[in-house]
Parts: sequence; C-alpha cells; structure tokens
Amino acid sequence: MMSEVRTIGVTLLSDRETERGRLLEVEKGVLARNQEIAAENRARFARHGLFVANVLSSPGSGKTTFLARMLRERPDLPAAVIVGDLATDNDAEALRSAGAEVVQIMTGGVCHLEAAMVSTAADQLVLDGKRLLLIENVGNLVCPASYDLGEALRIVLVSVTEGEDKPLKYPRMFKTADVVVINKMDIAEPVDFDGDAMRGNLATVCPRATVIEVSARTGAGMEAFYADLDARLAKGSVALG
Amino acid sequence: MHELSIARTVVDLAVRAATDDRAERITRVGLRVGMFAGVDAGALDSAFAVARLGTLAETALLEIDSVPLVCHCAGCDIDFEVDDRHGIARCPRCSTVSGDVRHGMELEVSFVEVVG
Repeated sequence: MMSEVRTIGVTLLSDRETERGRLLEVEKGVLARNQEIAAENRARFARHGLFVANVLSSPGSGKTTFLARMLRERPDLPAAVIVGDLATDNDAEALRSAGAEVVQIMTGGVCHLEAAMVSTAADQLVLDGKRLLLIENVGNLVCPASYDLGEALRIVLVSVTEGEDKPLKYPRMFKTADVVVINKMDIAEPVDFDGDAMRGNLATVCPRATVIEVSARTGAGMEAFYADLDARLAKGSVALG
Repeated sequence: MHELSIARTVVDLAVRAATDDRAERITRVGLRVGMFAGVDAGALDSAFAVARLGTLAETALLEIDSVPLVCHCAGCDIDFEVDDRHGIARCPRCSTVSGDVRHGMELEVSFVEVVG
C-alpha cells in the first residue's frame, strides 16, 4: 500500500524530471530521530525491568489525581514518575507526596514530551528497584499523540465533563490508546454524562482499547484498572513497543 | 502546534540529502503526510517557508502528498480506505469496526529535488 502511494508520486514527478532538477529518493521519517531515541529508551527501561506507561489527556482530566491515587494504593509497585508541564511543579509535588520519586520536565511552552526529554529526565531517576515508570504527558490531546516515548502502555484519560464526543474530536489521540480511563464518574449524573454514547464512540474510534470507568477522587473503579494493569505486568509486556 | 519544529526537521533531512549529493540547491521537497499524522498541511507549509531560509532549500517548494487512513479487516482479510473524518474504520464488506491502522499515520520525506 505504501509503495503504491510512493510510486504514484514518483511517476508523476518523473514525467517532469527533464525540465526540473534531479530527484533524490529519501524515505526518511520526519520523526525518525524521535523513534530511534524511543527505541533506545525502550531497551534501557527493559534492562531495568521497568513497565512504562505514557499517560495522556486534556488539561484538567485528572491525570495527577489518578496517578497519585495509584501510587498510594499500590505501594507494591515501586514507581518513578516523569511529569511534563509547561510551567510550575505543582503536579510533581502532588505526586512526590504520594510516595513516588518524581522528576519534572518543564517544557517551557513545548506542547508535548519527546523521547529525548524522557531520556534526559530518566537520567535523574534511580531506575533500579522500580517496577513502574509513569510519564504524565503535557495536558494536550493533539501533539503528544505523535511522539513515541518508549512506553509499553498508552493510557488516555477523559473525564465525564468533557463531552461524549471527545473521541470523535480527537480520533488521532484515541486511536493510539491501549487503555482509555473515563474519569470523574462520581459526578457523571449531575453533569448528565451519557456513558453509552461515550462507550459507543470509543468502540468505533478505538475498538482495541480497554475502557475503564473510575473516579480518581473517590477511588471507585480503580480496582478494575489495577486488574488490567496487573494482567499486563504479568504478561511481561515490558519490551513490547 | 509543533509544525515549525517538524518543518525544521524536514529542511534538515532535505539539506543532508542534497549535501550528500553535492547539489547546489534544493528545488522541491516531497513530504508524505498521513491524514492521521496529527499535522496540519497549511500550518506546515507556512512553517516550511520560514524554516528553509538561509539553507540550500531557501527557494524550495514543499509538495505534500496526503495519505488516506487505511485499516485492515481481519475477518475479510482486506485493507480498506477510511472515508470518515472521525477515523471510524468500518469495513465496507462486513461493517466491523477495525482498530488495525495500516496507513495514515505517516510523516515522511519522500523525495528531494535538487539542481547543480
């Protein structure tokens, strides 16, 4: 399929080649460098026996509350956390007080984390003895989707206040999700959250993703998330990519 | 919103290819952009106009080849093009929704045209 697209392009161009310059076939992925570093990260994390999750959502969906609860409730899974934020280290502080070793990447306006940033941040963490490396990405449902960080698992959070059509608005992000966590279920009723509509949209946009409903604030539903996580850890998907 | 950094990388890759070829100047750069690459072609074009300045690609044109979203249906064992702006990939034969994306996430420099 790929070669078909390429052939069409080159054929069209070669007709005009005489009146133009010569053509160099390049075939270079623009994000190739990021992917190379992501592969290095993946190998490095595997050597440390780390299971790495990239956690993504809009701003305000509850990534930090969700991760803080997991850290407190699963002390059997020693974790390190990399937090990406445009500015401030409030999220890092919240996670540190939940018991994790945390390093903050202040992106200073960059809208996403890249594999190289994660690599540098990981240098500042003690990786030995940890089981999980959680990466809280910059709150953004657009740009972070394109950047592989070397993770084994991609978790996309969406909260009940964001509208059931969120997966339709940001299909690129949802399509890359392994797990979709619907958060803030404790306020689903007052905000008239239509769970069937949301699950239907997720099933059509990202049929492969596991969908789990939780309230990171009350803790409801977290057991289902842990069960899914434990199953993935048991499968040893550490080295997968 | 990261089109400028992408444009800089595109220029970088093109200049490297042109330099390896001992070319004097780059006239065109071909880019393959998947419908689901998360990149806006208009923004990328504007960013490219800036990123090329002061390089061998100073006057180069950017040609963007859009790649449609193509998914695979396991049941029918076919690849099919997805004609849905939300990326809902329903097999045209059996209507099953597929999550097996085969194309449409590409972001690749496909060719560099040079002179000299």
